[in-house]
Amino acid sequence: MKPLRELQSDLLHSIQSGSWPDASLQSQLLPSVQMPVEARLAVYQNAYRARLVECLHSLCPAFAAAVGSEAFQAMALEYVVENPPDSYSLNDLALRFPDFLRQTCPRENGAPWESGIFLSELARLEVCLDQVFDGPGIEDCRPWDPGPIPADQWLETRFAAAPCLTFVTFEFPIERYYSDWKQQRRAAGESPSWPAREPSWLALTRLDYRVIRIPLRSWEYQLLSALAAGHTVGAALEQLDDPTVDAESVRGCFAMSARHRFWTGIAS
Amino acid sequence: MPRLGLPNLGLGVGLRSPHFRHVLDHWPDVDWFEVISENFIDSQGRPRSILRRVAERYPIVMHGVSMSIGSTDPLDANYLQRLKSLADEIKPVWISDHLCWTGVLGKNSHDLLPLPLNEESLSHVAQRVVAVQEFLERPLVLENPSSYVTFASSSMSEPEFLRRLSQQTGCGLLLDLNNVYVSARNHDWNTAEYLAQIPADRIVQFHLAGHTDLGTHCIDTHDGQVIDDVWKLYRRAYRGIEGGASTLLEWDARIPSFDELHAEVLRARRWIDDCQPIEDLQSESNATAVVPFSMPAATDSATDSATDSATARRAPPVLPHPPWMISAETE
Repeated sequence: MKPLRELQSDLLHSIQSGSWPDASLQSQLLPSVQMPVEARLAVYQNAYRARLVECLHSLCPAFAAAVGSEAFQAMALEYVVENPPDSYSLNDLALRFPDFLRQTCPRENGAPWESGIFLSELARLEVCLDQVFDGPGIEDCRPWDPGPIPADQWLETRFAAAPCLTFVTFEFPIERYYSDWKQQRRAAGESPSWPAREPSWLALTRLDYRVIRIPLRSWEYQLLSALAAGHTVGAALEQLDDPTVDAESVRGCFAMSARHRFWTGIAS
Repeated sequence: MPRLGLPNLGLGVGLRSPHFRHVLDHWPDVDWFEVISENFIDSQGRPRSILRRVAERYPIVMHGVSMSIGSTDPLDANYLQRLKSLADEIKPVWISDHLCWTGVLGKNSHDLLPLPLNEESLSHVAQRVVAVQEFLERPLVLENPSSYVTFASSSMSEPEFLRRLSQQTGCGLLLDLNNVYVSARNHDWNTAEYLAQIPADRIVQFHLAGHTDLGTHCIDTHDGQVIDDVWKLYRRAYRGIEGGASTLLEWDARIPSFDELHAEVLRARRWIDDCQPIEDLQSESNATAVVPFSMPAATDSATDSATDSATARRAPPVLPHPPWMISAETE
C-alpha cells in the first residue's frame, strides 16, 4: 500500500498529464462492475481539462471569441498543461496567460508575430478587468471634492489615487477592439476583425462596482500615471513631452479624472 | 443533540451570480442561502458587497470547495485566514467543505478528489479537522463527495469513515443525497446501507442536486432537477433526524430562473410532509447489494479496458461540480 502522499502525488500527476496510469497506480485503484480503472480515472482527467478550459474561457471571453473555439481550445489546453494551477482560486487561472501567449506565439527573426502581440494584449486587458473588478475600490468612500486649490500650492500638490485606478499601455488599439466586440456580442454579431498595430493608452477604474475603461491620449497617460505614482502636479507636467498640449487640454484632463473619481484626496 | 445544536434553517438555495439582480430587486421568500466561499473570499467588489446585503436579510451558510482537508500538503493558512475574515464579516450559521483533497505538491486540480478510506487517512484528516476548527473557532461541517474512483487500500465504508471522523473531531456532516446516489451508482454501493451507517445525529445539513446519468456511471453535474430516487433518499434521511435538518438545492450549470430554482427546492415539502411509508430502498436501488468497500468483479481483458477508456476520453465533457465563477462586470 502506498503512503497517502505518494498516492496523491501519483494520482494528481495522472490527472494533470492525462497519461495512462502506470502499473503501480493502477494497482491502487479499483474498477466498478461497469467500468475499468482507466475509464474511471478518465472521468477526472477529462473533467480537469474541460473545467480549466471553460474557466479560462469565462475569464477571457473576448480573446476566446477573437481566436475562435477550435484555436482557443488548443491554446488553452497547451497553457494549462504548461501552467497547472497552483492557487486555490480559479480567478487566478489566467494570470500567466498573456505572458504565455507572448512567449509561445510564432516568431520571425526573433520577434513575435503581430497577431501574437495583439492576442496577448487582449488577454492582458481581460486579466486587468478582472483584477479591477475584484480588487479594492472606492464605493465605501465619500466622493472627494477638490474645490479650488490655491494657485501657489497647485504645482506642489500630490493626489492620492483610488486603489482601483490602473493604467495600461498597448501596442494595439485594444480598448477599441474590446468595445467593438462587446457591442457586436450584444447584437449577436461576429467578432470584429483584428486591428492594425497602433499604440493605445487606457485607464481602468471602478465606479459603483462596475469596471470603467477610459481611453487616453499619450500625454494624458503620461500625466495621470505620473500623478498616480505620487509625483507632484508640477513634476508630472514637467515630464510631458508633447509641445502641443495647452493649459486648456490639461484642465480638461484634470476635470475628466475628477469626474471618474481617480483621486480620493490630497496625498500627505 | 441533533445537528450539533445548530438550527434547521428550512429550505434554501445556492446564491449564484445570475440571480444577484433578482434577489436584490425582489428579496424572495427563501428560508436561507448558501454561498460558495471561494466566490467571495477574495472579492473586494460587487460580489462581496451583494453578499453583505443578502446576509443582512437571510441566514447564510458558507460552503467551500478549496479547503483540501484531505491533502498531505500543509493547510493553506492564507486561505483559512481569508475564510475566517469573510465569516467574521457575514456571520454564517456554519462553514462547510468536502471530505476530499484538491491538490498536492503545491498544485491544484480544482476538483474534489477522493481519499482512500482507511486508518491512515482517518488519522490524517482528523488532525487537520481539529486544527481548522480551532482556527475557525467553530465546528467544521464536512460533506460526502461524489466520486469516480475507489482505492484498493480502503478498509472502511464512506459512512463509517464519516461517523468515526465526526466522533473523533466533533465535526458536523453535510449529507449530499445526490452524491450518495451518484457514488453508489459509480461504486456499486448500496444506498440503504449507506444511510443506515451514517450517524443521523451528526447531520447538520442536506444537499440536493441533479446529475447526469451516462449509463455506466453518473456525473454530479448540478445542472438539472432532482430525480425521484434522490428525493426518496432525502425523505428517509430527513425523517431520521429529530426536527429534520436544513436542506439546500445546488444548481451550478444551465442555471434556470430564480423562480424555477426556488420551486425545485420547495418540492422537498411534499417529500417530507407526505405520510407515505418509507420505501425499501434496497429493493429499488439500481446499485447491487455489495458492501461499500468490497472489490467488484474484475473486468475482463486489456482490450476491453482500453476501448472503454477511449470511449470515456472521446465523450463530450460532462463537468462534475465544481466550479461556479463570477465574471467581471464592465461598462
